[in-house]
Amino acid sequence: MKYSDVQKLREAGLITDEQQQNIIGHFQLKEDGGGKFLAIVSIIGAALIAAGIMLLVAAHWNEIPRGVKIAAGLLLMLGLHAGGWWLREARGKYRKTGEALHWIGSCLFLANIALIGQIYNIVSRPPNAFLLWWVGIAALPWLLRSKAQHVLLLLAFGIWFGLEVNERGGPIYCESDRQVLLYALLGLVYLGAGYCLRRGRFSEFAGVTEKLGLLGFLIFVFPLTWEDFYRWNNPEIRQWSFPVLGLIAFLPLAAGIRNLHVLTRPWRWIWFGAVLGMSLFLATVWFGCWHLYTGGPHRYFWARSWNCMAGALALFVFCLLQIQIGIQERSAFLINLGVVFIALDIFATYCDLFGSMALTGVMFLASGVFLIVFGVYLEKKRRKLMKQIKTESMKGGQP
Amino acid sequence: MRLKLLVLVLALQGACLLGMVAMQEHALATGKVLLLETAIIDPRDLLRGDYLILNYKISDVPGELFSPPVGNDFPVGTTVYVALAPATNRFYAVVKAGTNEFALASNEVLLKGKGTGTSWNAPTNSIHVEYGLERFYVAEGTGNPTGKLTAQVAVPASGRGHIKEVFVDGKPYAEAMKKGR
Repeated sequence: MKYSDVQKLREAGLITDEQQQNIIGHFQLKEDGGGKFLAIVSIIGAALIAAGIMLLVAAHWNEIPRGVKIAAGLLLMLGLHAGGWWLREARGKYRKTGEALHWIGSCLFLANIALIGQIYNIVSRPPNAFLLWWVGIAALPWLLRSKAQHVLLLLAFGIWFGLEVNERGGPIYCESDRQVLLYALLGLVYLGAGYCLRRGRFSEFAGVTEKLGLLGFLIFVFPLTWEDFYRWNNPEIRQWSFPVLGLIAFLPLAAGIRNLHVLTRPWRWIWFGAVLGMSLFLATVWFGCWHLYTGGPHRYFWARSWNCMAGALALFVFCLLQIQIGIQERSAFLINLGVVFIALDIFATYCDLFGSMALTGVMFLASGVFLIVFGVYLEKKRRKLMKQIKTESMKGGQP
Repeated sequence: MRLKLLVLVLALQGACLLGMVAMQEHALATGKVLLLETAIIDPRDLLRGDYLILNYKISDVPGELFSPPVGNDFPVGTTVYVALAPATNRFYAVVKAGTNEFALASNEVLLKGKGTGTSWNAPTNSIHVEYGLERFYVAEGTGNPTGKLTAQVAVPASGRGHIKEVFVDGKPYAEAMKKGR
């Protein structure tokens, strides 16, 4: 039910003022029916503006004195935050637009770091600029209670982490195929942090942190389903970062899993075990326990063997468990993400099975039938689950 | 309260940026100014635009100038100190190098860098050193100068060099490229 529908009912004289307010209050309807659309448009618009400003800065204007450039960048950043505060807090009416301005302001902090680097021809480690950016904006999500700032903070940390992993000589340097494992563990750090955030003053950040974490984890687990993955070893990588990051990932996960109140105790342990098991499986793969072929420089972690089916099967089972957790948690995201990765898993396995004409022919026949039957079943099941979640939400009084 | 904290965070962001500016300005204003011979290779930075990669004559330091002399097994990432002194052609050149700081003669300047391995295009047994002077940001589409490139560099007491200006055939870069277009 939309706010405008209730308003139309009132205008037609079918309900009283009091009833109108009661309905609005019960379903927590918001006046702006296009809020979500406005939020998406605002964020895309904000991203475009930030990118445009960054490019303008990058194109730099030689005629403008450097002091003016720096002052303009600084004032623009502060002005955007001031405008964002005014719209969001002082006026309180344009919260999304205000949030978008704060978001551009935070992006401009990075742009200003880049501008100073450009003006003074500073040659420094690229991760340092992103770390400085991350530190600079770290307080803003909590201060502004802004999900957009929180997502930016998580992305900033992810970018820094990715650059630092590939920075030769850095503390967590891992320029090898094994960096995929580090990214998967970072996803778990986010997932665990999200679970911990569920109980506390900033519980509204929990959902987005969990979603980003699980998405990251699955993206970097997905290469396990590939038969071919170029393997490159690097003796310079910092091996200690794997167990340490694993510990950092599993401590909050173990602490936060208790906050999944909807799940029964055994299911909480099953989910924790699934995540732990998948991570250990990942580690065995990336550290060569399944690696059969040792000759020559072009080596693949599954050695182009049927072993890759183990990876595909592991992801398949993990996604099924995730869907089960999603049903219990009434989370459409968990279910949809699980279904998407099962589909990707099937597609990857399909590609892995290309071989001789006879084998490919048999595989085409079998997988075609399987894909149609399983695809139809999966979609029907997904729709049914979505409907079930929606009905239960309505019964529970949630809009 | 939240507004006060926001103002504090933004003030810290501003102070951090202004601190970076102050450090650079101080180094440019107080550092000893040297002239170095250089040549280019030309890429682009996603955030900061077109720039030149400058390869200096002093970037390749012969192993025998180190005390004690070093060879091909020189570890990557090692901090390198070089003593620069004016040569006969008004450009500064390396006269001494080491992995620790050392005493300088009155006409010498200490410059700090990092060893990045042995040089493939330099005389045998040379160590390639990066001084943080290798990037010079230029206006879009002007990253293809023809002519002799020289760089004016300020080196403060810390030994970390800062580019003041790059010249093309003796003219400031922006001016030379504007006339060339």
